Amino acid sequence: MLSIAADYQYLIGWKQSDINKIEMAASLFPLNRNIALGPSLFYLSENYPSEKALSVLNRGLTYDPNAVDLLQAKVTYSIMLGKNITEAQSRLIRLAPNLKAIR
Amino acid sequence: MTASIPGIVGLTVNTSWAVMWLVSPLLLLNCKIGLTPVNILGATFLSYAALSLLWSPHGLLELMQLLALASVFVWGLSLANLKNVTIGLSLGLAVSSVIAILQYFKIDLSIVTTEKLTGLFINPNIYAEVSGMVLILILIYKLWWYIPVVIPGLLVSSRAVVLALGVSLAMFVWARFKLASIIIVITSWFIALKLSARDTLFSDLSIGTSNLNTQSLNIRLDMWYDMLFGFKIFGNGIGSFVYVFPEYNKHLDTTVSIAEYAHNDLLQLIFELGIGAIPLLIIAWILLKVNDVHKRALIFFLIIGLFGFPLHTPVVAFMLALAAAQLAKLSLGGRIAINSSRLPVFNRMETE
Repeated sequence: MLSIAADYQYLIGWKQSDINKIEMAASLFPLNRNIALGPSLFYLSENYPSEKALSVLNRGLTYDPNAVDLLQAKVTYSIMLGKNITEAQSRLIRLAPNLKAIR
Repeated sequence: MTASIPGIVGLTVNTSWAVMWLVSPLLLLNCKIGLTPVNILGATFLSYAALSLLWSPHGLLELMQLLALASVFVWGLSLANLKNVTIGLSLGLAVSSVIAILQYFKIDLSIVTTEKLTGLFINPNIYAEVSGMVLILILIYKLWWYIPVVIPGLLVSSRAVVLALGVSLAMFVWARFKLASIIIVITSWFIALKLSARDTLFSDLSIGTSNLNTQSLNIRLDMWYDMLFGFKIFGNGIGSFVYVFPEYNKHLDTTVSIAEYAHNDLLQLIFELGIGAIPLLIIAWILLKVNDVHKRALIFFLIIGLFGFPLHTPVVAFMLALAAAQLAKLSLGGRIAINSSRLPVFNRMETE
């Protein structure tokens, strides 16, 4: 039941661009990767760097340290916010060898 | 057959798994679980999968899926045959077929969240796999009137399904028409090759088909090659593929697409469970040795499993679990105890 409830919240969260509903879905059913990473993916799709976005991206990367799309967003946002990217960048280069631009 | 509930679920958690999680404990209420070789091997496999949670990043969801399938298998042992289940599956698939036909004629279906020709299955290949598996069961039980419900799904042209159907259908006629069987297999290979060369065999039905060309096969080959470097004796843990594979990936651009499945169930099982996959392979070997019509469903499943992820596709895996149960019964000479105090609803599922 929790999975269906979370899926419903996730659906309307994305339809309405409502981060609260996506967060609620992630709280209800964190067993599913897409739902658990929903808040991070939301800030990734916003494509707007902020401390809040970085914090949520970091939370997503704690759940899945190999989520390359989140790592790339973290590096990009960190650059735009003037933060140190050394560790994240080296990890991104290792996980995404085809991604030349970041080098 | 629950594929998705339009407008209610976001298709992230497959509704069929949710339904199975809810229903499977009830299915087991009145089933006896005997100590048969297949059951013991299955329990060993599940125990190892559970143990592997210790070193898996996140695997509880996949373990729950396996437990649901195991429940369906045990329930399937108590069914005399799958005739009524096949009728139910066909009627469920009919809903998707009607939707697929409406999608083909581009009739606005605001309740369906995808424009692809998929019925309620979201992914055209999964729709084709389900249709193919239901067709096999329809043919096994000679339910000819239900054949039309599988046609829309088969026309979406999945290469793996065409190949698997070719081999499975050839098995139907092998005993009496060996030449015809060979022709069926060769024709299926030919159609699959044509599908590789073009977007789809039926170009006017191409809406919603995925890119059926050699590129998808090359991507799979690259992924399988990279996976080999991630094989460990005890595996990476159940459900670990999507989390661990990026560490071994050298070919895919994982910043734009995530490899959620290996598109080869056997390789993914070995990647995740290592030696823990052996009990399941032994079960498959035991069941393949049984001389029974349900083996055609198992063969179909194994072939599509070489290119897709039917073990992670609930409706297809559900049908496999039931067909495997029928084979398992016969592997023991039909010596499976059936509890006579089963609830009426379960008795009705049986046919004489």
